[in-house]
Amino acid sequence: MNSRFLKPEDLRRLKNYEFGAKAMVEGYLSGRHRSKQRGSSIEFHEFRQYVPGDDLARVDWRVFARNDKLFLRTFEQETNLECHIFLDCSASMAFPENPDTISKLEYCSFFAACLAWLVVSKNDRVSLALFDENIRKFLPPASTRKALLELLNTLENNIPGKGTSIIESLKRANPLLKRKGTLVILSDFFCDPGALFQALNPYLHRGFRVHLFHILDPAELDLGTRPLARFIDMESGGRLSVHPQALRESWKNHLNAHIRSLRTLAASRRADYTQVSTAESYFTLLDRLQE
Amino acid sequence: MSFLLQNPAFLPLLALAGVPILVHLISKAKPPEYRFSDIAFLRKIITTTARFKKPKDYLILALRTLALLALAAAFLLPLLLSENSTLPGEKRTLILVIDRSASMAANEGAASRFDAATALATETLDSSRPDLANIVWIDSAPTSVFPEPAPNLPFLAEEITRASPLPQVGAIAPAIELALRQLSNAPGRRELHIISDFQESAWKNFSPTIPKDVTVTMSKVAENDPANLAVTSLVTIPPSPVAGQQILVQTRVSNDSSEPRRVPLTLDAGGSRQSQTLDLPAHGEAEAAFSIRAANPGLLPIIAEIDTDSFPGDDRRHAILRVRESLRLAIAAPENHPAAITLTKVAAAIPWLTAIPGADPAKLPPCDILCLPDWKGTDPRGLLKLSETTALLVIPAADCPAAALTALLGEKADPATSMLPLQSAEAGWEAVPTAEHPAFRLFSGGQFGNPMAGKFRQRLQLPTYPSVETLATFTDNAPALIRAKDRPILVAAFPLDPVLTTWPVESPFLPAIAEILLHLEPAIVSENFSALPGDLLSWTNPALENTIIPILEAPDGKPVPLTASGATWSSAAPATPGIHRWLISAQSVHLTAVNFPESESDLTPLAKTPALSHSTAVSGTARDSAFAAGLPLWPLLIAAALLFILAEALLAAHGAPAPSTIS
Repeated sequence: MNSRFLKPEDLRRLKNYEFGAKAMVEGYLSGRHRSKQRGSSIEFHEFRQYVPGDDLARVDWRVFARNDKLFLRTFEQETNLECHIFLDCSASMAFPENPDTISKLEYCSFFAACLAWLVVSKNDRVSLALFDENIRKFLPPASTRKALLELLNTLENNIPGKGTSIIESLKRANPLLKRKGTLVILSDFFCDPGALFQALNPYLHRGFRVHLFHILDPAELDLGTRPLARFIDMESGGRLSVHPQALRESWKNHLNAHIRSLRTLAASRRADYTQVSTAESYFTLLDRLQE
Repeated sequence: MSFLLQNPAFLPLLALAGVPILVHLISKAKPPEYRFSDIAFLRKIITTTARFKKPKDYLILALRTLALLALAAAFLLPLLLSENSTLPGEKRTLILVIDRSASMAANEGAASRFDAATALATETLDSSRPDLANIVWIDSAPTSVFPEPAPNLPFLAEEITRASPLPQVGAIAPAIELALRQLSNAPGRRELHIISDFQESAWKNFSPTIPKDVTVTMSKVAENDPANLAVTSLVTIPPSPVAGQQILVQTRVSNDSSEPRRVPLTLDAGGSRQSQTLDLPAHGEAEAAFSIRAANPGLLPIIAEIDTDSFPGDDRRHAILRVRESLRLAIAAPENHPAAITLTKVAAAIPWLTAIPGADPAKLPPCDILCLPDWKGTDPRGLLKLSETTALLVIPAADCPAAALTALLGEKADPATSMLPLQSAEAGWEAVPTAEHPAFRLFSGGQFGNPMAGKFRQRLQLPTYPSVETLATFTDNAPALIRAKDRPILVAAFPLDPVLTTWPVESPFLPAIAEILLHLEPAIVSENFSALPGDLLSWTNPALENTIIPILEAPDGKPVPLTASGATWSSAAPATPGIHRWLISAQSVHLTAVNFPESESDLTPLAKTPALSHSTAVSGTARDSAFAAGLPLWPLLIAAALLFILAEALLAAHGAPAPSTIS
């Protein structure tokens, strides 16, 4: 498998990982993941009395022969997992625009590729939604190798878009996701935390397990050490002359408050939130998923 | 105050002050661009911090600019100069006006005021080092050391050490005028430094006109008002007595101290000494009267003195009396004139009276009293002038114009009257003296009868003058004897003809006429026996003989150099207080009394130096010289630069919260 974002050493390392969803998921393929949806599988669940309308094929005739009563034998259904990757492709994700440094979008792409490979390798299904102001591209859930290759190609050909509207994108993606599963959102989250979780509410209600991965460049954490500069907004093109050294502490305070707000809201909604610097390995995120 | 830059070549360095502003403007105008993920957060932060940041930024910018400005200014080596100081290269002319009057001899502690003045003058010359300088002494006749300001400062310093206060009144205005005149021709910066005790009695009305380009400095060397006792007045009555006549000597002693004093006052009249003890109130004075009698004619020196105090110059006072052998009565009438006959008989009866009948007023011989019987009103103005040195006894004639008499008495003429009305009566009129007049004090007891006893059968109706003094009146209140108020002119309304009056044959006549003549003598003595300190004394040989060389003996017994002009001899040195004797063949021919100037006895200085609109009054020269040399400002500027940098650092650090980490 030759891909820019899936390096051989990563593949070797990924073999030690197992993608497991904490929450029950729905799936049509009997598999390793437990589902509360009763169905046909080999793992017995319980007996229950027959009620009109039940499939007669599922009646346990041996019990009927002994007790003269109709009981249905039910099994826990094992189904396949669906992992939905939401990748922010706005212009701000291209930061920093330095060829020697990995951008946030590249960082996220590396992680998304690894996650997709891990999911598909376990016969689970993975989907990919690229969004900026809207859903730019959506690859429906699939567990085939072909789908994985398509996903990797999409990541490679992806270029940063314009502005961000994660809220609008989440609203538009909701009908696209038929089954609940794990929702992994990769973004820099320069948005209102309240509005973000309002947009996530439908997913949380449907039982999605939501992982918010807040990706930030180290220069975004402390504004860097450069002298007075004219800051140009990568999304809006707005300009602002700023002395980063003078604003560093204020910036840190402000960013801290923003992160605290996201973390608090995530905890209250039983969502998982992780803030990671691009200076760290993206396997940190996989570790986080395994917890 | 003015500034001077010692290194003006570094003036462009001041442009460094523009560097922070330039950097600020340039960096603000085109900072490097930096594409950032999101500046919405930054905008929020800047919005909340801008109102604190902007003033702080501007303050930091101002501090940086000031620091650089102060640093650059320090390289220019600025000097702070006082207004009085000169700019480098500018010539300075200084004239020291030093008070050398008598009051400068007063002691202020251990040293005299003059000692303090000379010390200050020397210090001024040493510290200010003017290009040209001169000294003007405030004496009675101000003088300067050089005719014009000169560069020879050592000579001036030597002159200062040689000088001593003189017992004279300082002529302040002429001294200042002399100094300003010399300054007016001086080049460069012109300075006038007045050093004095600023004695209140001499300086209180001092208001000179000082040109604006002349810097005036006044230094006061008197701080205290030392206690001083002084004999301030010595007067004799009469001023020119006749031998044997009783003389009243009045002296006044002042006490210029805050405590009452009791001092003995001694009077020495030609070797005869009397003493009285005077009680002097604080800041007051007392008078003492001595009665002496000069037995012999001639010059009588009188000295009044008190015990010597800390200011001894004014502790004695001198007077010279010419005691005349007799009063000379000239009669402007022939010897056979009834009045001349009568007065000649009177002179024969009185030992101190000599009659000179037949005198011509146009060629009047030396006399003390001139009698004008039958005066027809001729030359009243000439007589008025004559009355300054000679007493006049005027008996107007019947045809004397009233206007002439009015003019003689110094009154305003009344156009209504033409001739004095002549009245005659066989029964005659009686006359009585005015009781309070001193001429008739002898008769006040009544034992000598009526001094104007007798019958006056003819009289002139004298006009009534408001200002004349009436000595006697007729019983009908018509004036009989009147005297001009301020002049020794006596006018009789009756003739001295025994046919027309019985008064000359009455027994009170002789003492009465004697008393009248004694009180008629002129108040002003023609001979001058006194002079002011500092004056040049002179004496004219009465014999107009210039071959005889007199000797002038100073009070200390030393001869005074003389210069001659015909028969008049003058001293070449200014007079000092005391009695100066003119000697011919070791015999005293003339005496001159020189007294300490009374005004100099009041040693009270002015509370502060006289105010001049453009003058500066200081008490010392150390500060002057420090400012004149210029106060270097570069250390202050360096300190200010460091202070600005420190303040900038503190301000930049202020408000930065403790480092926080993103978690």
